[in-house]
Amino acid sequence: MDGDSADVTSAPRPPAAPPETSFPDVSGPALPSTEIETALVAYRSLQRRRIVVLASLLALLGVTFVVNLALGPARLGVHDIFRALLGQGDVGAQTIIWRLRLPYAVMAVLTGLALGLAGAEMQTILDNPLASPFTLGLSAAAAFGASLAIILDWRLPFPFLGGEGAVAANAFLFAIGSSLALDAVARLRGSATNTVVMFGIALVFTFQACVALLQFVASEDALQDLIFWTMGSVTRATWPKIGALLLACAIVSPFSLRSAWALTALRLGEDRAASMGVDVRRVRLASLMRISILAAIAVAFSGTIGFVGLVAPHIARRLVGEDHRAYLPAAALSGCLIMSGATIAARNLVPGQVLPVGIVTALVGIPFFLGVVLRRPAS
Amino acid sequence: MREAIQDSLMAGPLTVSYGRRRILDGVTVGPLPPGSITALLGANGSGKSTLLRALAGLKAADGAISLGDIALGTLAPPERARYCAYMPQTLPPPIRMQTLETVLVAMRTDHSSHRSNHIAHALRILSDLGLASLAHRYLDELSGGQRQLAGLAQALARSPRVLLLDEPLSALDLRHQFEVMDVLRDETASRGMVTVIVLHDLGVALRRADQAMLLANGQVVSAGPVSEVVTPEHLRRAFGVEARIEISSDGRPMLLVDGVA
Repeated sequence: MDGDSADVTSAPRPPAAPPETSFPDVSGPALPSTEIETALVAYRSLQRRRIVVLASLLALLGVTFVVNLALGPARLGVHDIFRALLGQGDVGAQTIIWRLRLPYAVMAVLTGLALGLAGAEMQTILDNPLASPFTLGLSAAAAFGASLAIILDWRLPFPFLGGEGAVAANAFLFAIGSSLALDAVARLRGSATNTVVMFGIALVFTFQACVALLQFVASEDALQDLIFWTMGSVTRATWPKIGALLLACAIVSPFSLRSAWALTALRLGEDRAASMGVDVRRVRLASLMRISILAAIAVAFSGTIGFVGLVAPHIARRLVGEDHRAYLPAAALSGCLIMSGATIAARNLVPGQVLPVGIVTALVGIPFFLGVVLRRPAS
Repeated sequence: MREAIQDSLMAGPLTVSYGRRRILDGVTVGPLPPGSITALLGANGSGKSTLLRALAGLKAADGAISLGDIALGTLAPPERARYCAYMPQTLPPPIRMQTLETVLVAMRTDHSSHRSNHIAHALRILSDLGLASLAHRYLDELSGGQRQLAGLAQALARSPRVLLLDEPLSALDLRHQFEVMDVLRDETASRGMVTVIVLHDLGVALRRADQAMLLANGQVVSAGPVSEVVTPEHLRRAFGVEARIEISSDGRPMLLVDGVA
């Protein structure tokens, strides 16, 4: 410091205009009103187009849902389906619809919704297009939890649950545990999202190694069960599970939509969002909690279903952009649609057999995954 | 003078540390009167960006920050966001959103309905910055410089009373650098903003800023009118270079750097 004080009171070169503190208001030369009108029309039509896209996704989902109910070894017409749904008509058809096809179809839609929404939020808060419950270790952790129950019969947390319930409970515990760990890393390292992604990848490898270790010591029967579990399937759907998943989606998604502005602002850059008044840390933690709940329950009930959480957000981004008011519902609907379509394929590709849906989604997902990776410009 | 001080930005002495490392050490800012542009100068790592982040409330600092009689330092983030807009050095990421949309997102905290006067406001800022034709283009289709301008539009559109910009010219070509500085001059004067800009180009600072603050090692080397701050003696201390200020043929000050001191 020298003689100059840090005092900068000298008057600015041009005479300062009287301080006016107006909020968004047009000052200075106004633009031609036609230009504003054009922009307004363009903006409104953009919003309308988004609504049309969302409605189309919903309609398409409706179609796949009905197809899902109609297709199968026993041919049922739309008329039969509706009668069966209302508890009328042929008892056999009623049983097929209520015990098999409807739970599968509903489970597929809800699993897709949970994974699509979780993936969309995850990619936003971690600022990484490759983030998803699958790529960051939630699924691997769930598989490890499940394998503890299947192979070692380890079911300490809920001793009153039998068999399948224990597998799901274990899977849930490990999935939520791993997302809490992701959470903790995000807390400790603050905003360094790359660290969180690295940690997630470390989780994937750790839990995969643990599962492999258990597979190595497993009996043949247990191994069979585990492999089937890890392939991911909606055939384990039961109405109580559907109820739980529905409840989770119903509770979590309104909070997601309420954060739409903050999440959109976050896409403009973390510091920018913070300067707009977004409490970045809180938004990120709340979002991670939502992701944990959605993904953990979905994976616990349906097993490892990869790529839905990864691909659905990319489809949504292409279709409606990244205004999260449209992007989040679009990702959720895309997830539903992928799962619904994959379930149709899984149930009908091989006559008389229901393929694990995880196989089908992965086969659809891999080319897309590569496409996104290869298309991403080096920056 | 009294009036000017009433709405001026004042801070300090500010102390900011990252862990044990002290980045800012008792830095006093202002009072910076409304309607003025202050250039924040200094070598790499001198604490310019940290000071700007501290003023924006993004980095916790010891010391008071106030705008007139509003204690900015004690406001909650959403409240403070009504007064201060900050633009970081990093360019806005190439996301799938139209330029106009991103400006609208920046403008409104509830963003539920965009009335036509908001769109008119956003559009005017965009056209001032020469971005009107890009209003409906997606950010992931724009060049780095265009995205930097879009980021500037996001900050300006919020009509802040304090505008804090971290190297807003870094990705711009020569013409755009001066265009942007002219827009900033106009907006600063007409809205009575307190504008603080981290600048690397001392030439731009000499020609377009009202005041300057020169930092070195987290301390103020000099602060005041630009011509008193940018002197050979100060530049030697802050940057370690030998430099001269010559008066060019049009009577304006010009900086010539001869080499390392």
